[in-house]
Amino acid sequence: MGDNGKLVQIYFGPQHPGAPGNIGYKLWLDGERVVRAEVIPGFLHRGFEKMMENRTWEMNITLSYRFCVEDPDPLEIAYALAVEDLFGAEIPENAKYIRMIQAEFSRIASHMFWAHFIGGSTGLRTPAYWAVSAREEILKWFGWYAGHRIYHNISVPGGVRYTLPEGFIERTLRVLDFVEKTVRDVEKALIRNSVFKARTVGMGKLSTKEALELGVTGPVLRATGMPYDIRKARPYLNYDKVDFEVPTGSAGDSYDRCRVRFQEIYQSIKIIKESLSKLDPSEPFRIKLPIVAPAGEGIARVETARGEYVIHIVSTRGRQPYRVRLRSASMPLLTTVVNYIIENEEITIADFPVLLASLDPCAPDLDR
Amino acid sequence: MGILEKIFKWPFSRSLWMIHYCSACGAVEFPPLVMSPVDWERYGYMPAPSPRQSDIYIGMGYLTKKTVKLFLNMYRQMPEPKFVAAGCNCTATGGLYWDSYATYKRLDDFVEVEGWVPGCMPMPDDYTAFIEYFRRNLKEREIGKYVSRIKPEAFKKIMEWEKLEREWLKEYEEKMKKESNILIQYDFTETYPECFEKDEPKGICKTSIRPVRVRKVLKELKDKGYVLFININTIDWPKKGVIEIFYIVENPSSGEQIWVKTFVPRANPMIDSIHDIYPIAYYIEREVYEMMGVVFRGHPNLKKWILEGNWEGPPPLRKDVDTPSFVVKTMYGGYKYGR
Repeated sequence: MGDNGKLVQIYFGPQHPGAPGNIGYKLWLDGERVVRAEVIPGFLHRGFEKMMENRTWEMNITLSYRFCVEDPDPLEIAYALAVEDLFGAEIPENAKYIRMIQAEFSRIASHMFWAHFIGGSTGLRTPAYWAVSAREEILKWFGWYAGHRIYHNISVPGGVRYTLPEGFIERTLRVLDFVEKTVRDVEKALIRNSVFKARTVGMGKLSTKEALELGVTGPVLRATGMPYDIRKARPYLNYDKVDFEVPTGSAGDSYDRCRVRFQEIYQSIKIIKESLSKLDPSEPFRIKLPIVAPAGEGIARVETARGEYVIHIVSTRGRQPYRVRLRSASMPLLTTVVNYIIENEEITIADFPVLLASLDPCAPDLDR
Repeated sequence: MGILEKIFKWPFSRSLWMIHYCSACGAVEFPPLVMSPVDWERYGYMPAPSPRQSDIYIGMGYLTKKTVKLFLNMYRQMPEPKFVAAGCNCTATGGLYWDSYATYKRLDDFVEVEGWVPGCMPMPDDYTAFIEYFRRNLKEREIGKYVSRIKPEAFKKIMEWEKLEREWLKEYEEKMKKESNILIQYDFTETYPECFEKDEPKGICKTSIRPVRVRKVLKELKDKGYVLFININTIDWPKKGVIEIFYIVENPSSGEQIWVKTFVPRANPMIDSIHDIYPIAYYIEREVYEMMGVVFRGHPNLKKWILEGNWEGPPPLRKDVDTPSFVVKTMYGGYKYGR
């Protein structure tokens, strides 16, 4: 407490290197300890749900993924899946495997971006640099395959936009080898580092029951020991036909969350390798869907790098959707989880950025 | 050019510190710039954590109204000489979000801009080309011209736009008052606990309840194991005179979801809050309140949240709120590509 027994109020973000993007917190401090936090969202709000009502089914693809820059592809796939659900279309096998490769690459890139972020927060800049270089290889691969580094537009309702370019499998395997090697280095330098352990072990603990109560999905839930993953629980695409595990932690603290993310990267690499072997260039990659959609509803549930994402599309027979509703996986992480941990644990102002980084929220995902 | 001037300019053009403010999606390309592989530190560039130590602001992507206000505030704290550059298409024309109600379309409405980096998003090479151009440009310039100024009409413009939004809100509220006597034409049958629609592979079961039973049913579902609260979906039907509401809850042991459907009248949308049953609903209800105008009875803090500072007008997700035409009328002078 201050001299007169009052709590000190400070603003953390949006202009702060430790803030997860353009989002702010108002913190109440008792000495060094954070006793209350209130999120200040809205700096990234563009109104996607409204904008998507004014665009045709094809045009909406370019909007469908822009509210999580770090991990756009699962969102793009979810939109395509929901529209296919609305049309009642069955897409070619090739398209399913390409989408899985796309989604898993995006997951690796997102987790690598997170490693750079938590490396900066804990002062371990060297592994952060390596992580960015691994991500860079993936972005280059996307640039080569789709023509864009960050936003890709690969999945469209009805399949995927591109067939296999020459040397696709070889190049993908080469990228994977580089990424796997770098990730092992980053893992060694980051999460086995004693400084890193001192700042994360035992911090920000959540039990499975509490995590579910707060609305958490994704790696943060899995770190508490619950192997819950939409890819396993309700498989979409061909996730039921490939072999992978759902890594879990046990303590549910910041350190476990980091470990789970690294394990997920290795599983993603495994999925990509298996999907690559199942591609058949002689089969089709896309079916054509009509311009006008039937009346009805389309729903898709996918697993993004941050948790479960649900998209709900309502159509009243037309060229445009009537209503689109998106579920943000980052909202619980930025609001209820942070509040819960601060109430139950002693988090100092120096620990606060590390706590946020370990949750890996995506600020535009909350604002949309 | 005198020798003193040269001595001043040479180090200055080689130590540009950019303010570390990741304002939008373009910022995701900055780690490759600052770190491997492009490594801007060889140009004397550094991300400065405080506005008081920085020389340049690069607008990275779309300008939401709240961000622009924050930027103007921050930019006034920066010491001269200071510059503004605009990255991405959205800062130049509004870009993909040309019809968004929450963004301003051009950065140079508010401040003088030194350079533009087009693209969505620009590659790291584009940014590098800009910084090289800018360094050369700085060396050739007179010392007095070392600043990009905030335009005098910037704040006036923002106030005018916000005034128009408030006027629209008043109009809309009056219109809703008139509509409150219209009879609702909406068929509704309660099916709970049966599903009226089932999707086996996705594990989704849709059921419907009367609005008065929301709290009771959701408590029951939570005790049955549907502990994970996913979302509140709302659909506006002006012709039927109702807003349909879906509460989505999930059972994490089986992956099953139950979509509980209910409705509220459009003119007087009131429903019980469930924030004490599911804590995350506290925030989702606030979002639904500002976007759709549904009032949650018993919610302790029902006020603007995401839209605060972004939008003063009527709830934007309502179907009869035509935000694109409003944006075109106010920001583009009545014609989409009128600029």
